[in-house]
Amino acid sequence: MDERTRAIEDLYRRRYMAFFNVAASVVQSREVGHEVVQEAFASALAKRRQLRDDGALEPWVWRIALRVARARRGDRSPPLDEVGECGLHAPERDLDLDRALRSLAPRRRQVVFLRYFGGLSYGEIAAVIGVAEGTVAATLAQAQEQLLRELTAEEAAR
Amino acid sequence: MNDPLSARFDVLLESGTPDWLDVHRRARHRSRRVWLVAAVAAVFLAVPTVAIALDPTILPWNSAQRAPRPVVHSFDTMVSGAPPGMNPHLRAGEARTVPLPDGGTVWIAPSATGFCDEFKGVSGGCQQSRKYPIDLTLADDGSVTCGEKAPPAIVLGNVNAQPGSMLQLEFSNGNVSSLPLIWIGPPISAGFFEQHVPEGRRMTALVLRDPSGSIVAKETNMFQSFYRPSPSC
Repeated sequence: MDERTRAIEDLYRRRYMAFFNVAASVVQSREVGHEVVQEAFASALAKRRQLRDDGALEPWVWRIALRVARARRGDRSPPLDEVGECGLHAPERDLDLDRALRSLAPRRRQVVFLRYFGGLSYGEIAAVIGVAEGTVAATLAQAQEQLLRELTAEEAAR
Repeated sequence: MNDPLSARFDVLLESGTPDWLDVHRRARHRSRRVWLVAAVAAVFLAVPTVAIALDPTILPWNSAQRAPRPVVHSFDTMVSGAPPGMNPHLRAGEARTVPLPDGGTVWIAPSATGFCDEFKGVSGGCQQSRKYPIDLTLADDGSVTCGEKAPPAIVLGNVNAQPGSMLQLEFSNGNVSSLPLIWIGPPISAGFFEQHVPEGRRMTALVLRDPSGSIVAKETNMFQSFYRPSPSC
């Protein structure tokens, strides 16, 4: 087993749960979310020689995973930094949050998924979607503000 | 600072069911499939140790059909979504469609120093440094085989060599067959191949020869990995 294969396996074992939760949210299905993660890591293994910088392994696999997820959704056109219409993969567990997430712009929603389900830092999110770290911070702050506003409104409406 | 949303998301996290062996098996099948594509056409005639040099077709880049919009967009995301230091500087808008002899299609987009390609339905990659003579991918057809019989496979990729060079696939029974190459002119300046290899034919090497017949490069390791039994067998 070569070093890069070992690194990919290690990433999979450490971070499967994060990849699974983000992927399942994008495709709105646990089963398909799992398939996305499996396909993404299989693709990373098959293409591992194309990666030039070992330090960029995790962002690279995240990008593959998001691309596979978009393909599973049938979205061939949205750019990588958007995930299209989607909410929680198990909306019944928090309907208010699901509705609030669906009100977000695709880019904001993606940053939220990567942050809260993926557990990525601002810098890591920036590396995945190819924007500046400051842009991630600003986008996340706007998303958080909008989510809290929506959730407050939902609760007030009851 | 306390994040009021963290707890709300945390309770929704699910553990899923990780299965690394399944990932490994899928990767092996993927590689296998790639190798198989190009050759099914009559080129698989058994010609022991003697290569059949097919006349290459050199396709002027500008005469190739433009790639469809979704493909252009897909290439475009490689630029917009690239992590720092990994931007291939693709000119996605110039992407072209190139039909391959075995019925496949490759989409190609030029970059600052090379190109990126996407073989329809199989795999893609980038050739930026042009320092490797053969950029090879092996993929299976998705079937699982645990016995002695070699599974069907697809062979695909590109070569960084002078037009007229020959690509030969060697088999465990000593047979050698030539892979048809489609040569693309500047700014791509490379040859592309994709060939399906039927079940029961075990590949051992891919050899690139210059027009005079001298060996330029030979790839064997990937085939050994490709045929290694799956951990699930």
